[in-house]
Amino acid sequence: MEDYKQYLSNNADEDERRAAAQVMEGLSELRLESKVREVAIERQALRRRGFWQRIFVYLVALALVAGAAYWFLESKQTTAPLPIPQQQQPIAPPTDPGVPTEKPQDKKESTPIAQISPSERLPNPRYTAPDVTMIRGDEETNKALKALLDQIWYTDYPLKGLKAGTSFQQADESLKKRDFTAAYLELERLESQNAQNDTLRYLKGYCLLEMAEGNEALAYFDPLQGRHAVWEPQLQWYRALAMLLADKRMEALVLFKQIAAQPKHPYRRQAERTVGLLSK
Amino acid sequence: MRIVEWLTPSNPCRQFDGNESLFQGLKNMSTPAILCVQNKAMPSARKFVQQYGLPPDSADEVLNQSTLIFLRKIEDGTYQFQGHAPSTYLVEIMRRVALMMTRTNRKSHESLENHHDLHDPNVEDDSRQRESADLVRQFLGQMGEPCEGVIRLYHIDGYSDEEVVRQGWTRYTTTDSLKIKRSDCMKKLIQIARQWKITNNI
Repeated sequence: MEDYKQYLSNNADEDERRAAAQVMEGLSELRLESKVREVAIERQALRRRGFWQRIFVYLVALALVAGAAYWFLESKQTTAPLPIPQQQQPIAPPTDPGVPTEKPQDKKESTPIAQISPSERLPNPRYTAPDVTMIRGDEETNKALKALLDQIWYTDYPLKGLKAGTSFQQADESLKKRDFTAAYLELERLESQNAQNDTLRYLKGYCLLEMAEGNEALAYFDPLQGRHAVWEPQLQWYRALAMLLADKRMEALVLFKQIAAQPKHPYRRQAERTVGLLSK
Repeated sequence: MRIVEWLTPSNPCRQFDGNESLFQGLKNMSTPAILCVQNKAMPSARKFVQQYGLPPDSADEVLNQSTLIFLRKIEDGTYQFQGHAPSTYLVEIMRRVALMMTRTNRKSHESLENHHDLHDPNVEDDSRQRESADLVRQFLGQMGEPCEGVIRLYHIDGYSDEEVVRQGWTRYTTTDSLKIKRSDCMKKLIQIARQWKITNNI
């Protein structure tokens, strides 16, 4: 800071000296005020920066947590069984497929098979398998197949998720009574009128399955794959049974294994039993 | 590289390795030194504001006013470094400033007779300085350009003549011409102040 005396005139009186002193004091105060203002602005800027730094750190931490969670879930999913192509999980909660309803534990029977604890014993099928001994060539082989099918013939009607309309009333009643010949004839008649109906296909496939016509049943079941999610689990099971009937043992085994690998599949335990029996 | 710089937590005190270097920084009016001492004193400012029942957003005002007084005391030599942390002294000033602000607030609600204790020498000194500053600001306004700018750049903003010439902030292209003009303007300013004192019988 310059000395104010240099600004005084040669013959400066006391008034001028005091005025000069006051001017220098005022300038000094203005300089301090200006500096404090400048620092206050800088302080505000630092505060804002600190705020955004904290936000940035929180976001990075959040991203890391999300990444870790994603990685964890991803790694969990890869250990789970791979989904079967063209198959969807059922929408409607499945009930006990093919398990006899006339058993005393009514409450337990209404529980879906998938919810039966592993320690519970799987009930035997409600119905026996169709007789394959009369229509196949090798009697011994057919007897063995029949014995196997009797242990795993978990079939049920009405079909899960299928609502047969009034046009199927007669076939529906026949299937409920397990009069498959009558049902087949009725379905044949309906098919001649409307061959492209999926409900008709499914009913006819089921009917053929119960009549031990594996290949024919598959011809009706196969086009239905992946078309109706709610039918899918039962359709898979029936296809696997049809494959056994059609002497496609290896293909059937693959499908049974796929079903058994799905923890929520309503036929998982039946499939596990079947895989066990087929592997013997 | 800039993002790394941005992410580095700001600590203005980093460059001062002790109280003495901090004091030297304050004496030179260095911005980091002032920020450092303010950072140390800010929690106390918030505490005083709360203690004395001042509005919560007045902590910054308390800190700024106190810093102004503190810097003035360093400049006029009232505060000398004796080994203590400069922030301790600033906190003491803040306490007084906060108390003064409380009294000022109360004064507006109560009669003046109850407030003889307002005559604090520090308060009077502060108001005298402010009055001088206000007068000089007014006189500078009266003088107008180029005198106002020439005086402001050197005496208030603290720029050197070389910097002012280099940046071309005035019409003067050499430091000598700038100095001559400033001297001329300062003489005028003193004469205005003298005239004002005579007119107002001060």
